[in-house]
Amino acid sequence: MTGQRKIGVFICHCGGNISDVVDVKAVREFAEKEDDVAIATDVRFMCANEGQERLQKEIREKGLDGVVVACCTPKMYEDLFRAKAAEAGMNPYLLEIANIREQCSYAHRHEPDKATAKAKRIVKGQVEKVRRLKPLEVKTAAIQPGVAVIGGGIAGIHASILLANLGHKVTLIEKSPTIGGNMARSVKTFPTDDCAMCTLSPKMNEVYNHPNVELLTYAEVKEAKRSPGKWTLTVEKKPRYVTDACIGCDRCTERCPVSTAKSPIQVDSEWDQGLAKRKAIYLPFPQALPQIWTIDPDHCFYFLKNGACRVCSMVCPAKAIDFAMKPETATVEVGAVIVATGYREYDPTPLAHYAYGRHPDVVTQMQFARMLDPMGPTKGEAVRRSTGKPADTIAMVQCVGSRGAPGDPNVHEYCSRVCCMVAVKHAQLIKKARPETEVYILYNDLRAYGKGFEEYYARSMELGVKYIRGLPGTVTPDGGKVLVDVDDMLTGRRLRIPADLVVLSAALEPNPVEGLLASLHLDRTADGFVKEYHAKINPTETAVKGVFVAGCAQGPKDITDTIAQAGAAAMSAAVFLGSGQMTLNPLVAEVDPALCRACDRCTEVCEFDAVHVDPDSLVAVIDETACTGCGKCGVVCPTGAISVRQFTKPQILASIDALAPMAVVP
Amino acid sequence: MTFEPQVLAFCCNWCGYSAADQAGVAKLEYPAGVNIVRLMCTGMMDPYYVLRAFERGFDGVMVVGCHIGSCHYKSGNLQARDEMARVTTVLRALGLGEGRLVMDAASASEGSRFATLANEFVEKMRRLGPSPLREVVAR
Amino acid sequence: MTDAVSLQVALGPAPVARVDPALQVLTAEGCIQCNKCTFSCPVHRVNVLFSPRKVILQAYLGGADDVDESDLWACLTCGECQVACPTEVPYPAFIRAQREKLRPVMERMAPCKHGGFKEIVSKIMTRPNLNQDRRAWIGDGLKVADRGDVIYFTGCLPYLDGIFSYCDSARIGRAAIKLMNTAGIVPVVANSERCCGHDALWNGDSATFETLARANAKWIKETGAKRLVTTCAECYSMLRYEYPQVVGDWNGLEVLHMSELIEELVKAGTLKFTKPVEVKVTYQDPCRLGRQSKEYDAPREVLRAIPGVQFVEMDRVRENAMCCGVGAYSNCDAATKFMQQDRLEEAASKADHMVTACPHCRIHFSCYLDGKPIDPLPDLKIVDLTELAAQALG
Repeated sequence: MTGQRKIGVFICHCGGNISDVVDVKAVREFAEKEDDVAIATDVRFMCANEGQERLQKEIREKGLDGVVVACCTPKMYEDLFRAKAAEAGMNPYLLEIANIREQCSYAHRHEPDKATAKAKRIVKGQVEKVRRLKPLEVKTAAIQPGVAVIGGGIAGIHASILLANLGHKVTLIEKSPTIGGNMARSVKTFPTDDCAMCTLSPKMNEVYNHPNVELLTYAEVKEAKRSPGKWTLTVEKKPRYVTDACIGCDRCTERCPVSTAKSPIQVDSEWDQGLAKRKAIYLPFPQALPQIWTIDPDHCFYFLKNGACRVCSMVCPAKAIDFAMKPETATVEVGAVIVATGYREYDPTPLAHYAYGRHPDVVTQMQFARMLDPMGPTKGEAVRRSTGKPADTIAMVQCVGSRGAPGDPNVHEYCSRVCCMVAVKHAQLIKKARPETEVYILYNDLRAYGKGFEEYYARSMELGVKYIRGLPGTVTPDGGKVLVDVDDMLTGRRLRIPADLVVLSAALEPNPVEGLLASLHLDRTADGFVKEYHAKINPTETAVKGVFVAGCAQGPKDITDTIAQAGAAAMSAAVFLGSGQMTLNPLVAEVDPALCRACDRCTEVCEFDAVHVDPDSLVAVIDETACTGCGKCGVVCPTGAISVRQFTKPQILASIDALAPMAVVP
Repeated sequence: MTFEPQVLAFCCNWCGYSAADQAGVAKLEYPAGVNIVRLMCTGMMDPYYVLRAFERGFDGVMVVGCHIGSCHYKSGNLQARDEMARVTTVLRALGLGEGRLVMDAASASEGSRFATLANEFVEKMRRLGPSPLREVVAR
Repeated sequence: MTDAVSLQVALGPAPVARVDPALQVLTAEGCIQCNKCTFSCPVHRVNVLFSPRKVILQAYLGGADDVDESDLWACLTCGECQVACPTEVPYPAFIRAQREKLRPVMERMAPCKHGGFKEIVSKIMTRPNLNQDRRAWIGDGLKVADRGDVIYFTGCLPYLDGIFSYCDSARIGRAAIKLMNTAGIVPVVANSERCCGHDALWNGDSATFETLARANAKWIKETGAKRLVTTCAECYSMLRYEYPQVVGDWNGLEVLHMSELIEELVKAGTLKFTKPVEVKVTYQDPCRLGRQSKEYDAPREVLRAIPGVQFVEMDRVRENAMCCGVGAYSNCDAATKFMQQDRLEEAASKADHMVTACPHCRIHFSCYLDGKPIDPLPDLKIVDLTELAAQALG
C-alpha cells in the first residue's frame, strides 16, 4: 500500500491568516514524515504566483503523482490548483485541498495549540485520501446539434428566431393548430398600447419562413429520452384532415353547419374565450400560421355521423380536405431543449362569491380582451353579455386566484405579476373609447413595477379610472345589474357598485404539462411553474443539462420580460451547443461489473434516472451525463459495486481514520 | 485534565460544509475537537461510517446537510435521515446511548447556525462523557 | 466420513509455530489434481474461470503467494469441494489461512457494504467497556434471566434488523424464547454477549476472533450454565468446535443448535406441537450446520414432528446441499445472483416455503428476493425452522 506514491504537501501561510494561529512549520515537519510524502513545504501565498510556480516546479521535478494543498476552503481555489497541476503534467484529480483556514485557523483563533494539532490531522486525512486516489480521465460527449423549442408563443418564437439566426437547426413544436400563444389575443400591450398582433405577427412570419426552423404545429411531445449529449423526443402530430393545398379561401367555414342557429352541435371558440362560437372546420384567427384550416373531429358531423356531412370537401376549390388523414409520429433528435409552454388563465369558478360561471356578465380579463378587439365578437365594445348593450359601469376585481391563503386548494399563493397592469390597460382603453363608462378597479396593491408602468397608471387616473382599495366580499346578480359589495379601505365606507360588467383579473397558471416535465426530469417549484436552476443567478437553465426554460412556463411575467428571458435562454442553449462537446464531470458514480448483483436497488433510489441494469449483461450501467454524483446508490448497494469517484469507501474511511482520536497524535 | 470531546462532523458540500466555511469567515469559534469530513451530499452517509467513527474513538457524530426540501440532489438528505435512523437502533443496542449521533441542517449562508450546532453538540458530549469505546491504541 | 473438525486443528499444532500454514494445509492432505472439486463447486458453475484445483496448483508451484486475490475472495468456504475430494483436502481451511496471511498487504479494503457493517459491529464488540442493550428486541410476554442453566446465545440478532430491513430476523429469537418458555426453560440472555467471531475467523482476522472468544468464554463460564443453545448455525460451529481451541475445554457445557434442543424436547414430551401448520416446505442445509458440523438430522426430525407440515426434500441435500451464495459476508458479487436463482428455483420446484436453520441463509435469500430476480420466481417464502416450530405451539 505505501511506498508507491510521491505526494507533495504544500502548506499556505495565507499571509498570516493561517500562520498566525497554526504553526505551519510544525505542520510541515509532521507532513514530511508521513508515508509517501516526497516533499512538504510551506509557502506564504499559494494562490499567488509564488505558490503556483512552486507547485508546478515540484510536480515537474519530482514527478509527483499526488498533491495536498493545505490552505483555504476548496471552494476558493480547488479548480485553479487542479488546472495548474494539469498544466504541469499531473492528472488534476490527484489533488486535494486540506481546509486549514476557514475550518481551522479562523474557527479556533484562541486555541493555537489545538488548531495546530487539528491542522496536522486534516493534512494527514487528505494525504491518506490522495494516496488512494486514481487519475480520472476527463471524458467528453459530442452534443447532438439542433434545438427543440416546445411551445410556440412569444417566448418560443423569439428564442427560435435567435437560434435559427445563429445557424442552429430549430424544431418548434406547438400543441395548438397555430403559433402565437396568448400574446396573439392580447389586443394591446402595456404600457405602449401597441397593437399586440402588429408586433407579434412579423415575428410569427419570421419564424414561419425561416429556413433553419422546422415548425410542427398541432403536435405534442409525448416522450423525451436522454442519452449522452442527446435528447430524443417522440412527437405526435394530430391530423388536421386538411392538407397544405389549402388556399385559405374560407369557403369551408362559411358552409360548415356546426354552430349555426339550428345545429345540434355548438362549439365555443377557444380563440374568443367562449364569447363566440366556431365551426368544426376553422382557422383559429385571421393571422394564424400556418394558414391551414383544421377540422375538429370531436364536433364534426362527418366523424360523428359516419361520413354524413362532406360539405367542406365539396366546396373546397383546392381539394384540400382529406378525412383519411392519420396521426403521425415524428422522432426529433436534438442536443438542447427549451421549454416555453406558457400559461393559461385561472378558472374562477370555485370562488363562488364572485359568481363566475353563474352569471354571463362576470368575465375574466382574457375574455374582456376579446371584447376590446375591434375584430372580436363584440366589435370592440364592452357590452353586457346578457343584453348585448354597452356596459355603463364596469368593476374590475384584482387578485382573483392569486395571493391567496396558503393551504387553500382553490387559489394560488403567489402574485401573478401582470394582472394589475392588464387591468390598468383595459380600463384606460375603455375610458378612451367611451369616456362616459364608469370604470372601477378594486385592488389590494397596485403593482406598476416596470418601465413606463407608473406613468401609464397615473395617466389612467387622469382619464378617470377609479381605484378602490379593497376586494369585494360578494358579487351578486340583482335585477339588471351585478352588485359588487366592497369595503373601501381608504375612506372606511362600505360601497355597493351596481356594475353592468364585472371583470375578474384572474391568476396566471402554468399550462398542464406535468407529463412532459416529468419526461424531461424537470422539477417544479412550489407554485407549479418549472424550476429554474437558481432563482437569482441562473433563471434560464434548469437542473437538467441541456434543458432550458423561457417565458411564463417559469413564472408569470409580461411580454417584455418574456422576450428578455427567451433571449437569455436562447443564448444559454447556443453556448451549450456551440462547444460541440459536453465535458462530463468525472466525479460521478462508477460500477465494478465483477461485483454488481443486478439487484436494482441503485435504480430505485436514483433521482436522475442515471443508472439502469442492462438486461443482457445483468450489470448496472451509469449514464455519466445524467449522474450528479450524489452517492445515494453507493449506500444502498449490497456488494459495494457502485461508488462515486473520489468519494469511495476506502477514501472516506482514510479521512475518518486520520482525524480520529485513535490515530497517533504527535 | 478536563475531557475534551472529539466529534466527527460529516458535512455536505453545498450546505453543511459551506456553512462551516461561513462560520470561519465570520470568525465564529467552536472547539477544535470538531473534525469535518466533506461529502458531496448527506445521501452518501453510510451507517458504516458512523460505526467506524465510534470504533475509532470519536465521542459523537454529527451529520450536517441541507434543509429538508432543499437538498442539492433532491432527496439525498431524506435517504440520509432514514439511514441514520437505522444506525441509531444499532447504536442503542451497542450501548452507545441516545444523542451521540445527530443529524441537522445548515444552509450555505447559515454560518452562525453551524457554529451554534457545533458548540452545543460538543457541550452535550461533555455532559455525556467520553465514549465507552475511547481508548488510545498505540500503533 | 470424518467427524466435524476444527479449522485450527487442520492448521497445525500452535498458531505461533506456523510456517506458511497455507501450504501446510495442502501438503498435509495430498491433492491429486483430479478436478472433482471444481465440478462440485457452486462458484465454478456460474464462473467457469474459477477452479479450486487450479488455485491449489498455483499454490504448489509458485508458493501460496501466487494465489490470486480475487480467487481468495470468490470462495464461499462452503466445503462442497471437500466433500467431493477423494483425499478430503480441506480447501476452506486453506483459503482461511491464506486470507490470514495476506491480511496486511491486501488491496481489497472494506469488504462489501453489508459485510462492512457486520465487521465494524464485531470490531466494536472487542472493546471491554461496552454496555450493550441486547434485550430491547425481545418485546413483551417472553421471559429471560440473568442466571440459569440454559444460555440462549443470540448472536447478531439485536443488530441485524438495523440494516437488513427486508426480513425480520428478531422473529427467530422471539420464537426461540417462546419455545423455551413453553418448555419451562427461562434462558439467560446476557448483555455481555459478544459477536461469536465467525466472520472475523473466516475472513482471516484471528486476532479479533480470539479476543471475542475470550470475552464470550469469560461471561459464559461465570453464569455457571450447563447448556448453551443458539439459533444460528455459524455461532454454533464457532462455539462448539472453534472456541475450545482458543479458550480451552467448556468443562461440561453442552453447546446445542436450536434444532437439536427442539428435537430433544419434543421427544421428551416437554414440548408439544398442538397447532397444525399447513405448509409445503423444503429444507436448506446451512453449510456451517450441515457439512461443517455434520448435523443433518435434527432439523429434519423437527420438521417431521410439526403437524400439518408437508416436507419435500430438494435434490441437492445434506452433504451435497448448495450454499446460499455468500460466506461470511465477504463475497457477494456478480456471480452470487446466479447461484441464488439456481437454488431458489430448485426450492420453488419442490415447495412454497424454504426452511433455513441459519439467520444468514435467510438474509441472503431474502436479499435476493428483495431485489430483482434474474428470472421471475414463483412466490417462495423463506422461513426459519425455529419460527415455524413456534407457530405450531397452541
